[in-house]
Amino acid sequence: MTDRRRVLQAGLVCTALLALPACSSETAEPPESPPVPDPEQADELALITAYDQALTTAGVRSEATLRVIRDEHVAHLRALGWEQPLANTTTSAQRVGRKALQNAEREAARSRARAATNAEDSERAQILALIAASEAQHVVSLERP
Amino acid sequence: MSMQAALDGEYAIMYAYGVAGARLAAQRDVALTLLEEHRASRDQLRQWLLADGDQPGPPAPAYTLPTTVTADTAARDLLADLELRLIPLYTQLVADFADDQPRQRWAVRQIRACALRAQFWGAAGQAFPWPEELPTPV
Repeated sequence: MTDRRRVLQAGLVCTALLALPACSSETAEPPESPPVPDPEQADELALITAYDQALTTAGVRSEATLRVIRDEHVAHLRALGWEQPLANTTTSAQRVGRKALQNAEREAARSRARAATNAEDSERAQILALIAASEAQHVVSLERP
Repeated sequence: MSMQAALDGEYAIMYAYGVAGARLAAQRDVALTLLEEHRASRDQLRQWLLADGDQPGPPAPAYTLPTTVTADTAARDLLADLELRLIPLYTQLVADFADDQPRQRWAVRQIRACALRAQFWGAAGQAFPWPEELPTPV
């Protein structure tokens, strides 16, 4: 074996040895996948997005009401255990009217009440029941000018 | 025990509807309808207590209201306040009825009904409808 071949082989072995820890470290620590919201959290996130959308075109009189309700949904989301920051996903193309918000709130209140009776623990059932009541109040608040 | 507490709450608010209803300048018909809802809740609680082998306690001979009701605004404020005060009692029942879905569903509906009646009488919407004087459970 020539000296050159020996050096090349040694280099390959070294490269392989150096590569191993790098490979094993990559498999040991895969990149973190983003958290997936549960159905209740996903619903609250969708409602917050709908209010953000509605606020982009709201008049002065509506804005205060919409903002209060939007913030209450943020409180619901946090109470349901979602700790991630909220991304602003509004698009200027889509208009969201009060009627659509009312329908969404009505459905959310029903869904939260159902979830309360299917909750895995009593504390979550209580939180979901209170959120359902709050969302039923939103339907009425949105009827007011 | 907490069913009896809810029943006591229903007795108290029925008394308050009687006092406040007489001071309302308008919407007495609505007050009467809402009073009927409370009578139905009272009857349901009494029925379940009996079904569970407990004797439902009677209403108190008299109640001291938290505020003096002399006019329409005070009457509305009182009813809004007392509706919210029922919510912690029904929230407790949601936990107590964890193993009985029909009863738990009823307790969930009661919370919603109290929150909506409170709002009707002038209470502001809340993220977690609850009386102001108590710490929120969330």
